[in-house]
Amino acid sequence: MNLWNMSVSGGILILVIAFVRTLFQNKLPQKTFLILWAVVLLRLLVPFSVASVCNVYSLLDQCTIIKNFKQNITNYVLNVSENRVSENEASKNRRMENSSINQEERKKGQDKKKQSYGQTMPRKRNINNFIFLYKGIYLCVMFFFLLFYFIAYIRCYREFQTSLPIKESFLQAWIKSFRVRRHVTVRQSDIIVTPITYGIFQPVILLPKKMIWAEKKQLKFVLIHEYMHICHFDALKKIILIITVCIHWFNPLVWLMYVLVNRDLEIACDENVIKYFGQESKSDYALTLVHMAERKDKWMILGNGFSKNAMEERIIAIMKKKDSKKAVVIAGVLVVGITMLFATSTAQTKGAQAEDMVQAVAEENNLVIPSQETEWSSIEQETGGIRSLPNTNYQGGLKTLKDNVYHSEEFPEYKKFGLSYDEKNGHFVYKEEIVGYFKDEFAPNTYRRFTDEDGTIGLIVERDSSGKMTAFQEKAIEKAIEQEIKENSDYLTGAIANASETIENFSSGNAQATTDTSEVNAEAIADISGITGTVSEGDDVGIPEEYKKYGLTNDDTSGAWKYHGKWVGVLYDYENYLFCNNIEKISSKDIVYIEVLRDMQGKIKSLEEISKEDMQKLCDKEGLKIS
Amino acid sequence: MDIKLFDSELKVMDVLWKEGDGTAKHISEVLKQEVGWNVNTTYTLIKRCIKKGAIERSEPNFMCHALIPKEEVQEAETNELINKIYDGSADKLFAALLNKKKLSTNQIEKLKKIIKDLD
Repeated sequence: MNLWNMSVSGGILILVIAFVRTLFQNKLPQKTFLILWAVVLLRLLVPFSVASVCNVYSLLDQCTIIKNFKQNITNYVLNVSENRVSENEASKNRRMENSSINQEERKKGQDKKKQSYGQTMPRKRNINNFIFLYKGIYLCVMFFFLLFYFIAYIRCYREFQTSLPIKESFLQAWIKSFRVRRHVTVRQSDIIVTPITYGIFQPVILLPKKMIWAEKKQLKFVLIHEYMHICHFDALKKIILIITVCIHWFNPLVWLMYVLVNRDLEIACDENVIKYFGQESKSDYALTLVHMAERKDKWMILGNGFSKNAMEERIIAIMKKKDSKKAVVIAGVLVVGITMLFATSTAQTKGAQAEDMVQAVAEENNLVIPSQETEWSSIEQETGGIRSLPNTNYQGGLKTLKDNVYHSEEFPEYKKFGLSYDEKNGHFVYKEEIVGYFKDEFAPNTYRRFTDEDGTIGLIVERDSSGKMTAFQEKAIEKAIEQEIKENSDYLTGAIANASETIENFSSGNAQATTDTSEVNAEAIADISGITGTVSEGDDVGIPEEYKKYGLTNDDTSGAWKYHGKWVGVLYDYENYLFCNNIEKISSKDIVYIEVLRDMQGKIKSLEEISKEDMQKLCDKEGLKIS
Repeated sequence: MDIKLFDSELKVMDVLWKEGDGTAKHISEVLKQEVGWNVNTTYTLIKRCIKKGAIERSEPNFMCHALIPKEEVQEAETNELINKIYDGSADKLFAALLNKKKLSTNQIEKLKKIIKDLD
């Protein structure tokens, strides 16, 4: 269990107890709540939990809503993985679909692949940097709080050290009658206005100087009150509480608990005092408290401060509470019930536990669990300048892709041989004709390829053995593409067979597809480049389920992404998804740029509309230029 | 002169008034016996008295001399310990978080009424 999990489940427990507390405040012994708070503290501080077959989380698990939610998440993961597949894979899938391969077999292959993707941790190092940053901030704040409380404690302690002994012998006699093993002393001070007890192992009761001459009856109440605090180690409890707050400083519910526990400690203490003196003394005792509150000092860290509300709560609790056996029984049921339901974890299967452990160990050591990812990424590499951004087998992105080529290291070389780029329309131009097909084999089996539907000529870069560009080979576009498909399939068949056995299904499918040359048409061009695709292609290229909840929709006719009625220009989801729309024809007013914000656990927090400039800054990280 | 001292500071002064000038070490020894303070506590209090202008310090051996007679000292009253202890900015942060003030007379009356009604 990590800190976050502890804080969240602890927070839920705090809410439940706070609710129960308001319901039964004056009907149950205050000890009930103290026991429940102790359970919360265990939950917040102890990093492992007792498994229980029946708890609120396992019950929720059985709910369909949760199931659906989980399903959505899985779908989403699958979708991302699907989209990460490089251009060649994308085109291959599509061609495979056309050729009537056994659908089942294809599914099996994909599923296998998807599974492997689900576990991968792409760009691990970046994520680690972020985690490192968060951890750093968390620790800094925690130490700040710890240090602050520590210094405050020391200062208070030093101040209390300057107190003076009390000579009144009747007080000394009372103290001696206390039945605690620790040595209790009573001292007086003129720097405090209300009585205070400090010290855990050698408790000292500090009385305001003026109180010594108060009515003896009041003095007795005060001393027994402090005596009860000492008996129940309340000073120690408060220290544990403060440490918990420092550790969970980011959780407001823990601060709420801090306030409530302090009140409950006082009220429980009052209960004990009344038990000691008998029910008939309770209004006298309550009046003493009010009397003391009149002279109340400002809040003090070691003292038992009480606020206005808390005082009223306390007085009412004193006056209303009655001893009853029924209340004790209800209290017992409540404690056991709440603990069982909210404080335990779901009993895990052995397999799941083992998996968790492997994952945890891997994360600890910054290991990426070996999976298909490595193979796939090497293929992505080989496809050269075409970045396998998740969007590339879907809408738009074509222009962006060509912008990338334009900004690449090799472009100056191409330029020397007469290639130019029309930035406005996103076309490469050679001898006043638009380039429809482009291929550059930088190194054996490492290509840069792209296509352009508006193009009329094909260009192939020729290089000498040292890798230096020597010329452009001009080709009729149909021929170039025909050759491309052949080469492509050969290359893929070889590469993939080597890469991983899971993909065998694909390569065989691919081989079949290549025989079907009638597929070579304008659409096939798009297929090869893997950039465009039709939306009707399949649900799995649509909007990830996770985003849909936040108002993203597919446009009915074009299938382009829309956000609350506006066109999505770019959607940026750090480490997860990058979507670029083909927005050339839409006026810039209707375009929104969306950044997906996630919490530390990777759950989507919100979708934010950001300016184009801000989006460009984000995209710079990906080497992407927004058109 | 208008110097206000707390009981603990008066205790330090008492030693000087009774026994005449003495070193800080001597004062701390006397007070350890009398009220059980440790050396640091006494030194802290001597420093406070120096700051308030009640004690003059001279070398060697941190000689202490009472600047005012017993009759001129006024009893200090506190209701703002917190300000004295936390004179840093951290105090302000904390005060904002958890500041609790005195109950007003109205609130006191209300509480007394509650007790009467419920009794």
